[in-house]
Amino acid sequence: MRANPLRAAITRACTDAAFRSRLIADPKAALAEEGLTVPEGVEVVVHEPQDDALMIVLPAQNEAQLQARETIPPEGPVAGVPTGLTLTWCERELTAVGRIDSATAPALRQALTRYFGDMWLNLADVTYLSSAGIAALLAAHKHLADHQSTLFLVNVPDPVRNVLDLVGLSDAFEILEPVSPYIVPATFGYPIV
Amino acid sequence: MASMSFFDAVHRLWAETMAGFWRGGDLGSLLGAVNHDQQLKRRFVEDPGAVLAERGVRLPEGITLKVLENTSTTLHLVLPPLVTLDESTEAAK
Repeated sequence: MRANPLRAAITRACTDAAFRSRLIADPKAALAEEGLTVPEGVEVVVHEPQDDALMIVLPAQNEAQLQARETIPPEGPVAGVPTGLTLTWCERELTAVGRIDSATAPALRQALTRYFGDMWLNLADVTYLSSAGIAALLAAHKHLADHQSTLFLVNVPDPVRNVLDLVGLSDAFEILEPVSPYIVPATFGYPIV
Repeated sequence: MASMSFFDAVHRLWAETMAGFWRGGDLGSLLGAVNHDQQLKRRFVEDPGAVLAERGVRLPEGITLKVLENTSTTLHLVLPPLVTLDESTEAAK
């Protein structure tokens, strides 16, 4: 898994007051300390949290995805998945629970290749990933990449991670750990409870 | 290992934040909707209070919402509060 220098900089700014001051005064120089080069012509604006305002940052529009008319999965459980695996969509995140083996992998592949736009696959409760499962993930990865979109694997448990490591595919997938609620403000302002 | 490009890092930070945020209730689903509805997005940027009210998301008394939008040439970063671990906070535990 690749470490995200932007996330590292934000996390450091929570505890390192001197770095925080530098980040506010000269964002590009401070981000360079974390190994991130801000391209020419891009401006970075750093906001301090405010007591009376929540700040939410929306991502820049992905023009390629917009032109490709990204499609959105319907909410709720995916029908027709063989016993052993359940798949549930919540917005763009597909949660898989159970075993991804030769019986259930085709259903996973179908669920992930029917739509496009960035997708998150939550594997926290997957207990087994077979070679057919790996093939399904690769097919989904390729399908989304062909549509300028990304498949993110979230909460990958050790048994699944080990399988991906063994076949040398850990770096082929975008594996990520959700940020802690504490640094959520970095992108979206404070979570509203 | 090659260092991550700026745009990859920005995209990934967004992805890392949204992972787990989709199930963040009303706000999570509002952010999801905003991402694929341009009209809703415009209204959310211009008058966030009205869009929140329509969706039944209530903010605490006295708190307003500001919506910033990244573009291909501007990245907004909102810092979390600074944590100071000094003796007084240790003593307060």
